[in-house]
Amino acid sequence: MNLALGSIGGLVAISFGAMMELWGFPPAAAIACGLLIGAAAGMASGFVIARTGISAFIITLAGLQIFKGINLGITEAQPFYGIPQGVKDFGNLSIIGPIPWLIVPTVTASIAVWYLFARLRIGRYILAIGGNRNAAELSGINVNATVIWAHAISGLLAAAAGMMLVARLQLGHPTIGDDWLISSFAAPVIGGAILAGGHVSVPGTFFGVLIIAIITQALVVFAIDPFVVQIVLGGLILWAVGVNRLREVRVSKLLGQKA
Amino acid sequence: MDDVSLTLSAGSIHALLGENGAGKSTLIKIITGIHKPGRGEIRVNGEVVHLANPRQAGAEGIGVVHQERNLVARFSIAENIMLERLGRHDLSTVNYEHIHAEASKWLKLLDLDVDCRTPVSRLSVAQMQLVEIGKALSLQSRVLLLDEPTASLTQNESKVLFRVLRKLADDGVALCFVSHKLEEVFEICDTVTVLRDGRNVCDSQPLKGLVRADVVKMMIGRAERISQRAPRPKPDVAPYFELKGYASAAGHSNVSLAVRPGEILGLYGLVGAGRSELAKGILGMTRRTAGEVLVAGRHTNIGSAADALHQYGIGYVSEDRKQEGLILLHSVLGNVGITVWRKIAANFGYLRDQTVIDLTAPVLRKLEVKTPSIHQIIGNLSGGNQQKVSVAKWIAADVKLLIIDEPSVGIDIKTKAYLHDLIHELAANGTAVLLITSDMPEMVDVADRIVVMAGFEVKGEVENDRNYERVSSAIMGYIHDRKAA
Repeated sequence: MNLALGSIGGLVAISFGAMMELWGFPPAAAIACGLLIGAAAGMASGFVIARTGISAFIITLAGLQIFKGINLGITEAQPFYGIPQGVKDFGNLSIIGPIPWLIVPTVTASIAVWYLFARLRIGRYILAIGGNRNAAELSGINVNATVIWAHAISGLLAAAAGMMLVARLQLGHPTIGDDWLISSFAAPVIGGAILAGGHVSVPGTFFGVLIIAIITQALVVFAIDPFVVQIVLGGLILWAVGVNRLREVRVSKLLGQKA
Repeated sequence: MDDVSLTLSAGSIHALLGENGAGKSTLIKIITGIHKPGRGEIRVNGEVVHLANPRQAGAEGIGVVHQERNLVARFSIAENIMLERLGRHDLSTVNYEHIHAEASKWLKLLDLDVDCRTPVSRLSVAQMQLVEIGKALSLQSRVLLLDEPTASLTQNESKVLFRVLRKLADDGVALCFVSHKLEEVFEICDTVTVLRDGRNVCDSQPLKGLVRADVVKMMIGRAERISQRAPRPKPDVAPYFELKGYASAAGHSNVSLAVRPGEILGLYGLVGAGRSELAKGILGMTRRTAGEVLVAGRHTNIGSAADALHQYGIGYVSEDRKQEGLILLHSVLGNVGITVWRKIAANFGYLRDQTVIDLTAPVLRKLEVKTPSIHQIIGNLSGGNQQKVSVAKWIAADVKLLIIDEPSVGIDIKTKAYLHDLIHELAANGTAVLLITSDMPEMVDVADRIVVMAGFEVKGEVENDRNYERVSSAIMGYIHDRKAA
C-alpha cells in the first residue's frame, strides 16, 4: 500500500521540469534522474516501514505530506514551462491514427510489472509476503529487504507516470499527482487484486485503468458538473472495495475461515 | 465431546483435569454459553437453563476467568471491574464515585490492597488475575470457572490466590479450577472430574483417598499402549545443533539441548511451556540474551529465519499451518517452492517455473500429496495434504535440521502414521529432527530422546525406550516436579 504514490509522481514531475528548464538537462538524462528520484523516494518510505514496523498506511501518509511539501517548496506553486519540444511531442503526437506515443511506456511498464510478478524472485517474494507475512518470513524470505524493494518499485512507476503527464500537459505542474489516490486504489481492485495482499492481476489492472479513464472522460465529454465527478469517483471506490470485500468473503469461505 | 457430566456444588472447589485436547476448554466454553451442547442439559440450582451466549451465562450467575487476560490495560481497576456497568445507557455520565465504591468492595474481599483508580497496566500478573476474579464475582456469580489461573503466577502469588479461592468457597461460591499443576489441585480442591478424549474418566469424585499416581493414570490412560517401533541406536557423531545455557528475550532461561544428525529429539511440555517460542528463538526471531548456539560445532549467531535457512540449513514446520505455515491463497507450487526460490533464481532473479517444478515435484510425489494439479490453490486441499506440503517445502530445501511443531494437528490417523514414518525416514537419511508435540503417544512413538520443558526452562531429559508408562510418568514427573520452584 502506498498512499504517497501521487505525491512521489508529482515531485518527480516538477523535478523533471526543473532539470530541463533550469539546468538544461537533455530529456534522456532528466528521465533517468527522475526515475532515480522516484525509486529513492519509495525506497525511503520502504526503509522507514521496514525499520520501524509501523504500518505502510501511516508511513506513506506522512510521506505524502513530506513529498508534497518538497514539491511546493521547489516550485513555490508555479509550474515549469520550459519543456523541450521533443518531450511535448512525445506526449501529444500519435504513432499512427489514434494510437499515441504515450502508449509505448504504458505498455512497457505493464509488461515489466507482469514479468516482475510472474517471473522474478522479488515479485514472488512480494506476493508471498502479501499472502502470508508470517509464513513467508518463517520460510526464509527476507521481509525487510522485500518491503524496501516493493516501495522502490512503486516509486519508480510513480515517477514514470509523473513524467508522462509532464509530456502530456507540456508543463511541470505542481498539482500533478494530487488526484491519483483514488485511481491508484480503484484500478487494481477493479482488476481483481486483493487489497490485503497476495494477489494482483496486471491485465486486470490495465483494464481497471481503462474503465476509470472512460468513466471520468465520459463525465467530461457530457459536460457534467466537476463536483458530480468527485462524487462518482468516491462511489467508484466504494464499489471497488465492496467488490474486494465480496472477493475476500468468497476466499475465506473457500479456505474455511471466518472473514 | 461425548456424554460428559460435571457437578459443581456451592462451597466446594472442583478440579477439572485432563491432557491437552481432552476437552476441558470446550467444556468450559459450553458452560459459559460460548458453544452450544449437541446433546444433554445444563442445570443451575436444579433448573434446566439454555445458554445462548456468555451474557446469558452471566445472568445465571456463571462467571469465568479465561486463561488469557481480558482487561483494558489503560483503564483503572475500577473501570475494568465495572466495565459492563459504567452507566445505565450509552449516553449516561460515568458516576466514578459509585464505580470506585463498588470496585473497592470487591478489592477488599479479594485482599487486594491497591487503590482502585490504579491503571491495570501497573499491576503485576497476579494482581491482574485477582482483578479478573473480582470482575467475574461482581456480576453476582455463584459459579466461578478458572481456566489455568496459576499458569503465569509464582508460587507465592498462587498461595495468595488460593487463600482467596478458599474464602470464596466458604462464602458459598461453587468453584471450578483447571490446572496442569497437580500439587495445586491436591492442595486446594475438594472434588475432581477427569476428561480424556472428550469423555469422563471420572465424574465429580471426591479427591480424598486418591493419590497423585491415580490421577496421572486417569489423565494419561493409555498405559497399555506399546509402541511399534524399536528404540534406535544413538548416532555416534557430533551434534549438528546445540544450545548451551540459552536464554532469550521471550523469557527462556537455562535451555540446553543437543541434536545429532540422524537423531529425533523430542521437546515435550504443556501449552505455554515455551517450546514454539524456543523454535522461533532458534530461528533468530527473538533475541538471545545469554548462552551459546552452536551449529556443526561452531558458535553462531542466527539473526533471522532467512539466515537460519540459507546459512545453517534450519527449517521450521509451524504448528499453525494457516497463520504461519502456508500461503493458503497461493498454489501448491507457490507454497512448496518458496524455500528454494533464492537458491535457483538465475541472473536478475529470473525464476523458471520448470526449474521449481523439477526440484519440488519429486518430493511432492514421494510424500503422496494428493492434488489435482500443482497449480491448485492449497487452501482447497485437505488438512493432511496441506501438512504434507508444509513438510515437503523443507525437504525440497534439503535442510540439515528440521524443527517440526505439532505435526499431527488437525490431520487424520492415516496421515499421522505416514508423517511419523516420514520423520523416521528423514532421520535415517541423516537429518537432525527436533520434534515438538503435546501428544504423548506421538512423542513416545517417534522421538529418540525427550527434553521436557516447563515455564520456558528445560526441566529434564528422558531417554525413550518406547515403554509408554515409564516414559510418560518420567515426563510428567519433571513437569509436575513439586520441588522445582
